[in-house]
Amino acid sequence: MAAISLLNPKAEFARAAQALAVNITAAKGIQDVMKTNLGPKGTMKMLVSGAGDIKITKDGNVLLHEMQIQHPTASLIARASTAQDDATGDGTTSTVLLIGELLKQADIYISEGLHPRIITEGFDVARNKALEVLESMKIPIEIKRENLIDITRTALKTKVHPSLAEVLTDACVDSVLAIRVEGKPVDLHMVELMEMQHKTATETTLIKGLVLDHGARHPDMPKRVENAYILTCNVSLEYEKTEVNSGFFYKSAEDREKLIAAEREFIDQRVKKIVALKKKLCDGTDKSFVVINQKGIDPLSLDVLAKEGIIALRRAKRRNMERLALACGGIAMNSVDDLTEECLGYAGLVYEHILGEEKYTFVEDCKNPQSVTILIKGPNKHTLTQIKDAVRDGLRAINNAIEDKCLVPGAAAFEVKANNELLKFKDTVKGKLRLGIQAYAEALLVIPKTLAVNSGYDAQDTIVKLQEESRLNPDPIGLDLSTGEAIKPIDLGIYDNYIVKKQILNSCSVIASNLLLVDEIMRAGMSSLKG
Amino acid sequence: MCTREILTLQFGHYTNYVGSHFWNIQELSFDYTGTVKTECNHDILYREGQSSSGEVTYTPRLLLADLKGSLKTLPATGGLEETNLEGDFSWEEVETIKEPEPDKNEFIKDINAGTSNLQDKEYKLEQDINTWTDYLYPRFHSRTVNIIKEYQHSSENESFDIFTSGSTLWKSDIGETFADNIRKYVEECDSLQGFQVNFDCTDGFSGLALGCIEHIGDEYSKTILSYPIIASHFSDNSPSTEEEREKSTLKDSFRLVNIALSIEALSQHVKLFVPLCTGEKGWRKPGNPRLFDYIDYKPECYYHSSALLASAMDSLGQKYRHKSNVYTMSDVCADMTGYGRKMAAASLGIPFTFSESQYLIEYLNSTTKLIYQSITPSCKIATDKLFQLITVRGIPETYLKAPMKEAKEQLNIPAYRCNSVKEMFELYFQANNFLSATNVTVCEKPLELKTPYPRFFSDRLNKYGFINSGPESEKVESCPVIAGLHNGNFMADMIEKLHRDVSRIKFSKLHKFGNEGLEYGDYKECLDRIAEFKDNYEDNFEL
Ligand SMILES: Nc1ncnc2c1ncn2[C@@H]1O[C@H](COP(=O)(O)OP(=O)(O)O)[C@@H](O)[C@H]1O
Ligand SMILES: [Mg+2]
Repeated sequence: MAAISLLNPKAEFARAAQALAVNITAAKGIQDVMKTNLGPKGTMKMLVSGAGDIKITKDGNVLLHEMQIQHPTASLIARASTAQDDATGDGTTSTVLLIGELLKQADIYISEGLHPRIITEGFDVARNKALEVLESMKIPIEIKRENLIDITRTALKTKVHPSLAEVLTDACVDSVLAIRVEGKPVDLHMVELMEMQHKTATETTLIKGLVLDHGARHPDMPKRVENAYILTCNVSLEYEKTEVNSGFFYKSAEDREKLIAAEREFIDQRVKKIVALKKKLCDGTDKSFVVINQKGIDPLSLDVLAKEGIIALRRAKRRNMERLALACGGIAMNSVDDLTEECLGYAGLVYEHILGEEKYTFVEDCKNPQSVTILIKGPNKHTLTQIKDAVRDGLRAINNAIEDKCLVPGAAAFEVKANNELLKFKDTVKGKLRLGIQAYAEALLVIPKTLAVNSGYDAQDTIVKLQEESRLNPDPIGLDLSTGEAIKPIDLGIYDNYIVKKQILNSCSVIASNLLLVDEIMRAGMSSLKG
Repeated sequence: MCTREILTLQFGHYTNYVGSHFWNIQELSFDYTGTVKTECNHDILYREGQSSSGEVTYTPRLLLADLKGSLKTLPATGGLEETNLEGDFSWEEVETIKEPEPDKNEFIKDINAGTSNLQDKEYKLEQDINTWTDYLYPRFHSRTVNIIKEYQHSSENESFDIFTSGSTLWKSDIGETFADNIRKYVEECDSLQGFQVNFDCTDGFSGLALGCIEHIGDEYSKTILSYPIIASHFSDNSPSTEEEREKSTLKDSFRLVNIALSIEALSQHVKLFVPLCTGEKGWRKPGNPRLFDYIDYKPECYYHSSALLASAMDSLGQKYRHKSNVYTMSDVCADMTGYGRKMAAASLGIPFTFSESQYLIEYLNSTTKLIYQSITPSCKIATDKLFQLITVRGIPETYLKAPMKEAKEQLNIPAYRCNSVKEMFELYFQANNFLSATNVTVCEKPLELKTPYPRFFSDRLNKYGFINSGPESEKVESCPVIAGLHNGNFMADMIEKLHRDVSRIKFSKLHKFGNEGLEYGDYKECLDRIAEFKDNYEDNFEL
């Protein structure tokens, strides 16, 4: 994708002082590319490759990875953003902006002769203070729908259009609440995201059950059944022709036939056992029978099952075995010996949906599903990916809130407050260390400034307003992007995740300090900076 | 007729060069008139499907991987589906960042325009090809192409050059998507015979491929046949400064370690594997090009050397892709791998040719040279104690021997009693390979050399790839080919050489591997297992 050719990548030739300048320029470079992304009014980027592949995103981390980053400094920052994404799923643009700004602020003092070491020491002290401020702003929550809706909406509105964000918010929150078991960590894998490319529809729905991306492979199997027993299994119902023909050793046709027949018999026995259970449980009732197998089912076996009116799916995803058991009940079976009713799950409705060459099977109306599916429909691959990325972010935000058991006010309330507290704190610190603290406090303001600029307001005016209001008012004060005025974010339901902010503070200080102490880094070798 | 499907997987840039030729050969041999009698069941490698606009598609049952920036003009969606641009983003500000469109060469322009006379036109493909999509004729299913965004193609900065990086990558999202795409293909198959996995074994793709191989081994109880491939040339092969020399030495070491790690892992996880390289040695440098009479190819030109490997693969595969459905990949693998000898060598004779005024019997009777050339690196194929599967294609039965009344001296040759090309080759191998078992498959059809197959043939060949007796020069349109898989004690030499060469590298030089998580103990064990693997080839055996 678009190359940001920042500077000569050969870091080893840049001498320490120059290297620092190089780092600062590089960090500013990416900051410039990324800053228009921040917040719900940031710019969406549509990346079009030479061959016409499209990627639409507003996510800092995705963008960084779509671009060709040749510069080692830039790739170090990109790694910080990836680490941020891996750990929390959010805050990547903020990370890049804050690293850039910390370097910019430091540069001012360094060019006046201050040693980078003193700045980084100041950063350390300031970071600890900022973490204290963050701690003091935590808003404890109970894990309830209404407490999760706001944080999810805030996150999603930074990724997709508000009307879509509303729909996704409900789907995300309801899915997590459905699969959550009190007292246990949430396994987000139990929310399956299923994409469906559909010419005209763009919609996202929560299915209380599973959607599989394949269907029955026999024309005579029913397309829709109700009241269904679900057998999930990992048993081969496919005759594996082993080596029956050798180029070197002669086997008579008769021998070959025998070999084949013996093995066929083995598979047929398995199919018969399934059929027997079906007959016992369903014949003469209104119940039906569905087999979902992780292994293969060959045409002959399909034939036998179809004759019994059984729907059979082969080669189900490994993870769906677990999901099926959680959605429908029952146990994933590794053998069909000793099959009983207790091994089976239940679904009120199972039906097939065909779209072009793709088949889908819906397993719905499950009694108490602990695994659910978010079904995403969109007109093309890139729209689907964009929505899917957003849903992932939404789910991560909910999970963070559940783990943190708290939220923090958004709309830059934290950054404004921390700036305020740090400036006060600075006056209690002696010596040059305070310069580092000052720089850190200043750098935090990049968040409100950028949010303001992206909404068309003047950065300086905004900061002055926010700082004044924050000094007067004990409550957290943030920026209303629709008016440019100071507001209480809590009133508007704008929240951020605590863990996201915490991770940003930690990683940014470390990376910025590394980049400042560049001569020491050079000695250690770039490779030791991995991760 | 029941089709026994094969899923093909390609990992890495050079492998994709080979792949482009391979799929070109398939698709350019399709007969849409219904008049040609074909021996090959295309449904084994291809699948029928439907595009989103409802048209019927017929695409390779294929997944491939390459790095960001390697595709040039081919969209990652495979090029069959038109990208529908409209989206539902009523976002206020959208900034479009568009990469410049890459230049299309003459050939690609013609394909895109649907030009029908590709075969009559002269293209300068040697100069116009920078990547494997530059001469790719088919279009792919949307799940076929998998691009690795973590690494940039031909980037010095963040190169994807070690096995361990590939293993790590397999465990990330890419591996998961890839595995899911495999599952989707397999789900469609009624009777999959197995997987064919071709990969670059000298860079990070080796680790990625082996991660994948291990996965399919666990997940599907199907035959895996693998071709680990070494490119014919690397750009750092002729260093001119001291600095370049050092770099090149280190890179050679990395490549060698990747090869060793690959071979060891393959010996654990696949049924049969056959290392391929058009260079004699393979490591530490590919070495001198293997020579083929009547072909003049440049090892620096991937487009050339990869065509040779693709021709070999296509020929070798005829045995289990035949319409008669007699042999499967699993039969072939079982035949080749007694005594735990999972690694075999491959050979190629292209063109397999003799004078147009000669008969096969005369040629086989008089030739003193080997009729094929090894295409397995650092491997000299022995002439006795062999198990071998040979495929011969494109020799008309009329070229077998002279009719009785004109036969003259031919009558004195014992082979005159042979009544088919197959019988005659069987006799030839019986006579030339002591204590060996040979199975010969004969295909009527020659290898078709349609554009964009390289035009690297001598002008002494006639239209059908036989040697011209007259002065007239013709454009070669097809040629006979012989290709073989060979196994026997002789393979021990190659394994021993590999073990010796790789053991010379100090582990301390390999800190990049260490950084990515390769432990010394594990590495050492892996080398030991290579030595043990060699033992499988050393026991004396009798037929
Ligand atoms: N409705 C809103 N009004 C004001 N600020 C908001 C609003 N929604 C989100 N923000 C702020 O936007 C920032 C997050 O923007 P985002 O584009 O998601 O970037 P990041 O990648 O850093 O998460 C946070 O500082 C958050 O508080
Ligand atoms: Mg965000």
